[in-house]
Amino acid sequence: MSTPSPAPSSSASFPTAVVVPTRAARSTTRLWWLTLVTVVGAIALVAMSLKSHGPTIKIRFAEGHGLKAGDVLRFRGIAVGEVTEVVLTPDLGRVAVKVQLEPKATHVARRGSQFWIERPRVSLSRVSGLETVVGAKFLGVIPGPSDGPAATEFDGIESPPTLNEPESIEITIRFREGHGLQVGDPLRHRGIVVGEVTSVDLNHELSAVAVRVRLVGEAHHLAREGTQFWVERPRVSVMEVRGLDTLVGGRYLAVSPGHDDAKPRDEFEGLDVAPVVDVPAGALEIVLHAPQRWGVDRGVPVTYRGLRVGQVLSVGLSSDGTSLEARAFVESRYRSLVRQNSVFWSTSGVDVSVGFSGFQLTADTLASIAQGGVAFATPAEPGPAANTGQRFLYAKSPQEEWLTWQPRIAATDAALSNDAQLPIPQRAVARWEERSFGFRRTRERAGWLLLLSNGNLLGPADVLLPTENALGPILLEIAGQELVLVADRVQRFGSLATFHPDDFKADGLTAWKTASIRHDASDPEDCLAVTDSQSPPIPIAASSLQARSSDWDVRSATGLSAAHHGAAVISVKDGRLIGQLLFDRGKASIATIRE
Amino acid sequence: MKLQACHCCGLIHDVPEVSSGQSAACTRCQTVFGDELRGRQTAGRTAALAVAAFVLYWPAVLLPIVEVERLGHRHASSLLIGTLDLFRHGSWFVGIVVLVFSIVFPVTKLVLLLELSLLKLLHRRHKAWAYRLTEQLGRWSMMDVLLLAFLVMLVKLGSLVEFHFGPAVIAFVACVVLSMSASLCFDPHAIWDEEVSA
Repeated sequence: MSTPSPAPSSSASFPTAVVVPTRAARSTTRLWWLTLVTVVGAIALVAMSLKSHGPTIKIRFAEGHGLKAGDVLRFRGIAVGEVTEVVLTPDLGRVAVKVQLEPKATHVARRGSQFWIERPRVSLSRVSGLETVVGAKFLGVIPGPSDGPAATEFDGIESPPTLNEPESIEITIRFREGHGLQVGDPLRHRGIVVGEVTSVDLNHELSAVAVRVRLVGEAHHLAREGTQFWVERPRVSVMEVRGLDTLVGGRYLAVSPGHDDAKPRDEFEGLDVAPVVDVPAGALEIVLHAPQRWGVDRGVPVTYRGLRVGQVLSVGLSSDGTSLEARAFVESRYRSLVRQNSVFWSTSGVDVSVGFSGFQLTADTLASIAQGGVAFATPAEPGPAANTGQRFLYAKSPQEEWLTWQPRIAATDAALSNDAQLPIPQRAVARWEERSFGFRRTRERAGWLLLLSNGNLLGPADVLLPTENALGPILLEIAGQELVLVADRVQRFGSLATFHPDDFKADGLTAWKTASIRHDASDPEDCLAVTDSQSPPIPIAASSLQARSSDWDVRSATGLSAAHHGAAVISVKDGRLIGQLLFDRGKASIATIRE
Repeated sequence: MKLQACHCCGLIHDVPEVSSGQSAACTRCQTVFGDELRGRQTAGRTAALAVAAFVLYWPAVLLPIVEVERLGHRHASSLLIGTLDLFRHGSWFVGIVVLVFSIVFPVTKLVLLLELSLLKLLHRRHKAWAYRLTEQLGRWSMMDVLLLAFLVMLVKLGSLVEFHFGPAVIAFVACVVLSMSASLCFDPHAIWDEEVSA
């Protein structure tokens, strides 16, 4: 711009404006492009905020629980939508909630999706929704099956499903009595939650309760014929105390599954009381019949020499009403005790007899005083083994001679074929003194030895031949006797050894027949490790064994410990002795017997 | 001879004829005198800016402007809905302030600017009145922004509160800037130019 200078004025009073160069003015402005840009920008802004909205869905609830517009819908803890409207349905019967979904979450709205209002819930069985105590309520959702078609109208559920598994099936169980069962209570199998109650309704006649249960995951296998359901609740009796966890922990449904190959089913009749027990695998089921009940009841024990070996499963009248029938089982370990000529009698109550000899009181277990029981005995010459379903007459009281019967019946295991016996190893400890660092120290080594019919004791080499530098004799304590381990009477082969004692009194001990020893076991097979007769044999599967020369390493030594060192190992296949279990420094192996 | 007052310092000049690419300027304050063509150009500029501001006005008012989240309670509201909410909750004073300064004044100003620069429907006497109104309204145009600033400050005080701006804020700010530019661009001489030339 040039410096303005005062111009000579034509009329004295007004100065003449200076002329300065400027850009040429145009009749229109170029600023309209800005307008255009703004219009485009505004359209984009509106489009963007409209696009951030997904479809709107409608959910009906029985209760609003204070839900209001602006609350969010959460899926796996993430907000996926927003409540836009909460209104009552025209008939005032329900609350309709409209939810605007985010575009990324349109898939949660498909058939089968479940919606609930999350709110603080503190019950004995669970605490949930605590964040909603001070914060806003929110809606939770579990989407339906992934192949379900999209839907826009839903019926909400009252409480969140505890098990957030999309794969589930529903079954109906009818009970005579609800026992305070509530929606959300769990269904447990072996203590684990496998499902939950989704609704509890009375039927039209008000005579039964229909409980709908959602089974999740693998539990859908429970929905088959023969499966029994009952409401677990506290029960205290002389026989048993059970369900105490439900005193403070809330009710739950318990289940006892039917047979593996039963047909699927989705309607069940619930039991009023828990079935006594699951019949354990391999147990012998028998039928007792008597003209009178004589104190026998469901759940009472079946005893042999006062030892509980089984239980009565059910008691009822025979089909023609002429006698009483009781179904009972005897555990697999003891099934060999029941023979076809066994006798059964009632042990209920206390038998008080006052005679010239004085006052005599006879009673069995405390439980049998209150509830009775069933005892049995087998004659000195045992008959053939009883089979499942065998019927026995059951007497009111035992005859004198029954109590004197002393049959020798080897305990066996269900895994073994019938009549196969179990060896009875003897606990033995080898003691010796040796010098270490200049001190005399007493050392010992314990294990199980098996008496063979040729008078030899078979056992781990480290028990029978513990050391060569003992100071003095090595003493072996076994079966209440003390033997001196003489080195030239001990024969070692591999990790095992035999000892032929000359002064061992084997009276009353069961010797294992040498004929029942198999020497050619080479490939690992299913076997049982047997220690004493009080503890059940430990099954060892062939799959957990690994052959290493004449020994088989046990891959997973679970359940085995140093207390099993020297346990007799018999083959499940033929019941013969094939070796002994060795346990050394946390590792278990089976030493097989060679020639 | 054409006498014209400088609209900055008021000194009356004898304005000579100027050719294209030149303009007359005040001897005292160097303010360039508007002429008819220049007047039309500023009117066009004002019109462009006013139209742009007018377009942005609607998303600014209707889209969500603030999102407040307090303990999980989320609330997003647009300027219009927010104002209506204020009335619904009985905050009449604040409601009226927001309604007048944020909604009514801006749109009135924009409409008047559009009329003056583009539509030219009114009689000249009403034009003068409209122009004065525009000037008066313009003084209050920052009021709503101030209010928003206060609101943010108050809301931020609560540590449990989260506060987000919505998409309307962009539109709102742009709208305010554009409408301010539009009123700055406007040369009131243009209102009467056509009569002078007629």
